Formats: sequence, C-alpha cells, structure tokens
Amino acid sequence: MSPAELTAVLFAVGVVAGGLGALLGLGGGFIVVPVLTLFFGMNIRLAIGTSIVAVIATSSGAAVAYVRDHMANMRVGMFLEMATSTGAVTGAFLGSVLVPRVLYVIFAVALGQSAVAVARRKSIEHRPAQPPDPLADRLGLHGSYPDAARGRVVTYRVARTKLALVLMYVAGTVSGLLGVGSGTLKVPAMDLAMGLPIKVSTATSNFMIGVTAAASAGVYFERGDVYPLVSAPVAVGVLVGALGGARLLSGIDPRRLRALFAFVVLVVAVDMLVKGVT
Amino acid sequence: MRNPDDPSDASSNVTTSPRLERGVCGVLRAGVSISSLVVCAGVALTLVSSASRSSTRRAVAQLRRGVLRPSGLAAPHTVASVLSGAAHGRGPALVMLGLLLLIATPVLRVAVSTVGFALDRDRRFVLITLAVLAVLIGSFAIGG
Repeated sequence: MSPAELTAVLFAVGVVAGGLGALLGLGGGFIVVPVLTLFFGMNIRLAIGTSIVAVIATSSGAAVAYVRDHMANMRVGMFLEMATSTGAVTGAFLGSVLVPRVLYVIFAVALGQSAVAVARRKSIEHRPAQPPDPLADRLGLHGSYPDAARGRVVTYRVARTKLALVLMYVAGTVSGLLGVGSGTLKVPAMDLAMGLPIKVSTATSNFMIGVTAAASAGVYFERGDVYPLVSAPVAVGVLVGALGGARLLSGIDPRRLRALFAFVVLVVAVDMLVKGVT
Repeated sequence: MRNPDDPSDASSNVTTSPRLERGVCGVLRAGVSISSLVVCAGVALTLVSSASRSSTRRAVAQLRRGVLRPSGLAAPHTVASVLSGAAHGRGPALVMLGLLLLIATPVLRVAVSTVGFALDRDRRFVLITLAVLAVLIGSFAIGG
C-alpha cells in the first residue's frame, strides 16, 4: 500500500467511523481503534493516540451546535470536566505501564459495555422525585432546554452531583486509557445519576468529551503515539463524517442500526479479547 | 429559545451568558477550521515531497507491521521540534503542528470560559474552570 493509498483509505475509515458515531451518539473511537489494530495491523498505542485526537475533532465540531441550540448544560459540563480531565490523565499514565495485551482485554470489556448501552438505550419519561442537592443549588447547575418535539422549553433539576463526579472520574480514566470519548459512560452518569434529560445528557457529554480527550492527548502526543500519516487522515475523516454523516445516513431506521451496531461491536469485542489473551 | 409565558423559565435557572456562549462557539469553530487546514496542507506536502517519497513508503510498511515509531519517516513530537520543522516547511512537522492546534482547541475553550465567567462575576466557575485548565496544562507539561 502506497502512502497516498493509505491516506485515502484511512480518511474513508474516519468518515465511516465519524458518521456512525454521530448517528449512535458515540465519538467514533470504538470503531477507529479496532480497525487500525485488527485490520491494518498497527500498534495499539498508535491506534489509541490516533483515536483520541480524532475524538477531539468530532467533539469540538459537534459542541458548537449543542451550545448554540442550548442543548448542552455548559455549567454541568465544565463542573464535571474537573473529574473527567483528572481521570483522563490517570488513564493516559496507566496506559504507559500496562502491556498491550492487557489494553486489548480492557478494550474488549469496554466495547461489550458500550454494545449493551447502545442496544438498551431508551429515554426515561417519568422520573422518580429527585433528592435535593445543595451543591447543585449553590453552583446553579439546574437548567432548561428547548424540546422541539414538545414545542416548549423544558426545565429540569440536577441531583447527586458528588456521585456524578466519581462516575466521571472513572469515565475519564477509561477515555484516557483507551483513546475513546467514553460517551457510553458519561451519558448514563448524567442521565441516570444526575437526572438530566437524555437529550441534554448526550449534548453535554459531547461538549465535555473534547476537554477530557485533550487531557490525555497531550500525553500521547508527547510520548510519540501520534503519527502524521495515520492520525491526520483519520482525524479529518472522522470530523467530515461526524458533520455530514448523520444526514447521509438519516434514511436508516435507528433502532435497526443500533441492533446491527451492537452485534458488530460484540464481534469486534471478541476479536480484541482473542488478540489480548492469545 | 426562551419562552416568556413560562414562569419557571425566568426564575429557576442560572444560565451562561450569551457572550460566554459566543466565545466558546467561536474558539471551537476557529480551532477546528484552522487545525484542519494546517493538517491537510501538511499531508499534501508530505505526499508530494519527492525527497521523502522512499522514506514515506518504508514508514508505511513499518506501520503495518505494528512498529510504533517508524524510522523510515520520523515525526517530531515535542513542541520545539514541531515548530522548527514546520518553520522549515517540512510536511510531517506541519501535520503535527495542525494536530497540536487541534489538541489545544479544547484547552483554549476552557481558557475563554474562565474569562467569560470572570466578566459575568461568577467567582465559583472561574475557580472551577481554572482547576480544569491547570489539569490540562499540567498534563502537557508532565507528558512525554
């Protein structure tokens, strides 16, 4: 494969990963890392370094729309970024001491979790009463968002902020360790623990992912795990795919796509597991 | 999208100011566009540069064998070497400069938020965003 061919193929991989990621509410990292390692035979550290840079591109590109449309709760996002960025640094350093075999196994487990999360995703319409949260009151975290389906502004209250900080530290560690956005961990932490509406959770997760990824990307960059011929076409491809892909793929029934995705991800998870233990 | 008929809308929430939102959106948009342009220019330069053609081919072969840092075409990965390489018009260095700008985009977004919260006299969030900024800058300072 010539350098120009590799660039073109990796760009295409990025476009598909970005498009699918946007459609499923994932960053694309869960697709990029397995493709680079299993299909192209690349080093898993290079795959992770490449993926984390691509994740920054998608999150930053998508965050503009979420902020402009008042879907993301910036205050909640910035508050929780304290935990995710600290977790991401932990993860990036953990990644440098773990041998690649262990990385494959952890990645397989994380893939399994995300497959289950995507397959079972549904929004909770009627929530039980939220416990009071003085910290959320003091920081002014409660918010509102324009719900297009209901045609009005929906207000919501935030709860269990301290629990969310702990969960976000874990999500950040997974992100930094595996080079993924870990939206499948961030969204439930906000949706289920804090009681944010699912649309706000998804938007806020996307808003936060760029900062989380930047915390570990700096470490990967300086370590030399980011390589121009690989990381650049993937990053630009994922950005293009994320911005345009959701529209291109809009004809597909999302439920069927989620089921197909869950199946594919489980197969890839088994592949990664086999690569790790043999 | 505010609803003036909804009484809960006016009273219940502390929101971020439009000025802060504009700043955040602006820095994200500019960061992504500029870094993508630099990355694309660098890739084009790397691929057309005849001087590096054989070494680039060798690097691709090494990458496909699982080599982490190909010796065929070495890429700079410290800020100083990236800057000096890009200043000399070397393709790989230009790509790395673009990727560095991309990584810096969220960091700048946090810095802009700090300024925005300071202008809004929101002392708690100035401290929160400063803490995030410290982690981000710290991670880069102790990386490598």
